[in-house]
Amino acid sequence: MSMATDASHHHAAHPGGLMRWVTTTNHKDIGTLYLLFSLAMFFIGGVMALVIRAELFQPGLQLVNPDFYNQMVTLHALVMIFGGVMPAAVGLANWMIPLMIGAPDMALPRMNNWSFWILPFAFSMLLVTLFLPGGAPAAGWTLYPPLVLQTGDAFPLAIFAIHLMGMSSIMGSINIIVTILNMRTPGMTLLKMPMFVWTWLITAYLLIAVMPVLAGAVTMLLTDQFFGTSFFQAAGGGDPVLFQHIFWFFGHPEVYIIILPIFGVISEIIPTFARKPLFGYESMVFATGSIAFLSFIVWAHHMFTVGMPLAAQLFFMFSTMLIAVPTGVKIFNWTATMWRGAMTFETPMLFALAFLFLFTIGGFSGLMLAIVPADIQYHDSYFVVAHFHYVLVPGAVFGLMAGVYYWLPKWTGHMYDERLGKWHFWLSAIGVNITFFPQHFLGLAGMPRRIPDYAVQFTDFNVVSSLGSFVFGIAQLLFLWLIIKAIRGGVQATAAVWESPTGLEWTVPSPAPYHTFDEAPEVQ
Amino acid sequence: MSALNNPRVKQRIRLSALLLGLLAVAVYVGFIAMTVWSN
Repeated sequence: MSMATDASHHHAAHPGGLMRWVTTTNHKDIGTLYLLFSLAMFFIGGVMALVIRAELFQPGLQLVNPDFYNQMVTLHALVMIFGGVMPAAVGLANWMIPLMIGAPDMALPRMNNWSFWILPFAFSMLLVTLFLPGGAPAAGWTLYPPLVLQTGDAFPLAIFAIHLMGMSSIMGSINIIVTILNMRTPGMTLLKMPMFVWTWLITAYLLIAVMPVLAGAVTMLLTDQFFGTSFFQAAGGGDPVLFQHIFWFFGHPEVYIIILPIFGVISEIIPTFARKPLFGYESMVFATGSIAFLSFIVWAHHMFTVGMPLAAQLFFMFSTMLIAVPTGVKIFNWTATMWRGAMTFETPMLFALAFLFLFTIGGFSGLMLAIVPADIQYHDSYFVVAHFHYVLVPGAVFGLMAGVYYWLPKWTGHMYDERLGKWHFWLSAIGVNITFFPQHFLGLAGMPRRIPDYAVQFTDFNVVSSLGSFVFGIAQLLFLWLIIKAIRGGVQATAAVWESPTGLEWTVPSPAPYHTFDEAPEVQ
Repeated sequence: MSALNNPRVKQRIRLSALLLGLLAVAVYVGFIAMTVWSN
């Protein structure tokens, strides 16, 4: 077993065509595979979202039956979270971390290949459940028993798919931690690492700590269904609420697993386009660590309505509110970085700025949801849907898009079409707000989530939201076209690409050569 | 010399990967064991 030893000997001859991609151990190839896979998943999950919004365009049942609607809600979430956002962030990590720390590749290149190639099988297995008797899982991405135990033939396939996704994430995380801790170029101490590397280091630890928890939870669901155990079945002495505790012990850190690498991306982009160093680098590192720690002690704020002692309600309410402190430190630091900077507004910066404003809206509605008596009103309403979509779409997805625009010239060697990029940005920014802002009002007015039909008084805001979703969806075709254009040609990018970026990744030519940093670079 | 050709670095890579893998397995087994015990 010499996963580490062969990395520097594999380059002499590597196969071309399809086999290059199947057998590759190169971090850039694998990063590209992750990014393309996640792009495909964004479109599949996006079509599911549009099915949902089309059904909700009017009250009554128009397009799909309620069971299929529930399948769409469930698969949309699973595909977007585990197939879209997480692999996209891992793709960025694969491409950029070795370049940023001056390493020739990831520390465990063969395991890296395996981490990626598990994913297409996992998602094929998950998506094929749509065509099985009983359809796909329909109990929501939270998989709460006893509802999830009513899933048809899809159940074991979905559980196996989730195990595979978890294995992929854990292997990817091990690789990232081991690479960062062992392969930094001489002179690059921990507190000299780019923020993107820091945020991924902390995220990877979070993943290793909580992915096995999800795996354990779904393994127990499987044994409840097929092997006669009663972990979560009340009829056999089990406790369905126990599943919710275990699920959210995974689920809340998962929120930060999604967003912390994005914080890293934003911390790279804002200094470049403000032409100033990142304000408060060390406080950013400690804020990231604090958020990661706090993410483990807030899980029950997702389940205030199931009932818990007053002391527990108070603990989880205050611990949740505490997260606003390190998050506020970050927002303050990004703003201070821009203060008196010589700012320009290329597409990556536009997405980063939109992230700053719109993620903060999601953060504030999160604070509202943390307040126990208010949460008891908001729970399971469209307010929650609005909240987490603000965090995930103009938060995580905009951050990923900012990163793609920022590094695309380094990957392809060509500048993207700036005019098309700005069109994409404005249509996305307007579309996303038209989609999700009215959902706050729907929730406060009492519209429940996860329903295919609704009372007529909710019609107007639903019409607006559905129209916005189609604007947002169509705008993403521009993104796809822009990426294809940049891959096929365009203005040659320089090594530095931007006016004054900092970091080792900007010292190598664009496109980055297949092998970089065979000799370790010097860092002062 | 590339980090991947350095025997000490290779050894550290293997050891840290092994420890992290064991941590993941321990969390998995530990959570199931805790649930069994609490039932």
